[in-house]
Amino acid sequence: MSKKILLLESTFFITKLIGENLRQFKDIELTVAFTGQKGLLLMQKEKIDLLIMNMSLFDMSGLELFSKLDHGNIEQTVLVMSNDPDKLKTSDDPRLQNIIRLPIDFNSFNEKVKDLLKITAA
Amino acid sequence: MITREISAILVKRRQIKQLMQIQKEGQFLARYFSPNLLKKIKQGGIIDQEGIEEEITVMFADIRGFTTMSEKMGPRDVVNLLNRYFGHVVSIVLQNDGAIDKFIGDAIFVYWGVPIKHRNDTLLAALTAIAVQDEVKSMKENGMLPSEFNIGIGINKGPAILGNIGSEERLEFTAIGDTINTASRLCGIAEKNEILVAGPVYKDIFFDLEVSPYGKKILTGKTQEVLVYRVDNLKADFFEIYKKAF
Repeated sequence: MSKKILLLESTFFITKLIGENLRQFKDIELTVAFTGQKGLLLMQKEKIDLLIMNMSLFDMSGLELFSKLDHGNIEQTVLVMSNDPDKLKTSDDPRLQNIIRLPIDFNSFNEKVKDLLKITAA
Repeated sequence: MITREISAILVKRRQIKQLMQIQKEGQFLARYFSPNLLKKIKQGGIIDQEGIEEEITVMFADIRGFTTMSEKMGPRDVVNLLNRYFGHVVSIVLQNDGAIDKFIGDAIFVYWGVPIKHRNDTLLAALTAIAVQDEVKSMKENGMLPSEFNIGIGINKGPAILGNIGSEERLEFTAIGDTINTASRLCGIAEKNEILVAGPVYKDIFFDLEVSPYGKKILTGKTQEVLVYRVDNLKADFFEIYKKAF
């Protein structure tokens, strides 16, 4: 059965780069949203196995998005992308336990994705 | 004895000031280089050197008609617009191992080739330019930038001097030289959505990118003509070419 990934990232080039990278994984269904608002609507409609998100989106911050997820009682496994991961590591929020530093090192990124989805590459 | 003590205090103060300067430079550099490049810079000791000469590929991008656009906007909106645009451009540049030398108003000056040399830095620069032009187009389509927002890009390759330039109060790690000036002038004549490259760039990119002659131009401040080309399109899938360049 396909694993569903939702990618929330406002820089279009980065979404294409991540999409190209994820092609190596078997049975991945990737959906992309460029705004937090669009992402929330998608998460309300269907269950997502992994949310990969930039902590800085066009219309809201990652923390604002988490707050809206909490209000909607949406539990979610998250891989966060940030250019300042040290700042986030001080938080207790379990959604901030898996962080990828920007710019992306795809070796680390792929290991995190495999680990969080319990999958292997093709 | 008192003179010796005073002398020791002055030496200590100078050492502390130098350490603070080095730390400040490290924090400062982190804004313009990805962690990967920053690590290489620190390992290579480039930050401590008085000056090096290297071959680099330089890219300038600036906004067409920005002065006119900004006259219709309040200052806060101008800053927000610029930051939104630069946020995306910087993400792309850093992801592609570009070093951001500086922001000059609505322009950005980036280079490749130091401290890391990729398989084809010039092709990587050209691909980054294409990615940035595409990004601006997508941002406009999605309402993130106004429809009249357009950029022109200039790229050149050649020798440059890199080093810490300035005074004790303010030092900047930067690249200077004619290679940079030519790239800047090319950016200045590029129309909206255009990517113009100088002759030395052509031979590194023509195999993978569709490039057409733009003519010989006498650029501002120069007496000799420069052979200029325009980047038109990709010859293959973007990411196939991208992997080759890295």
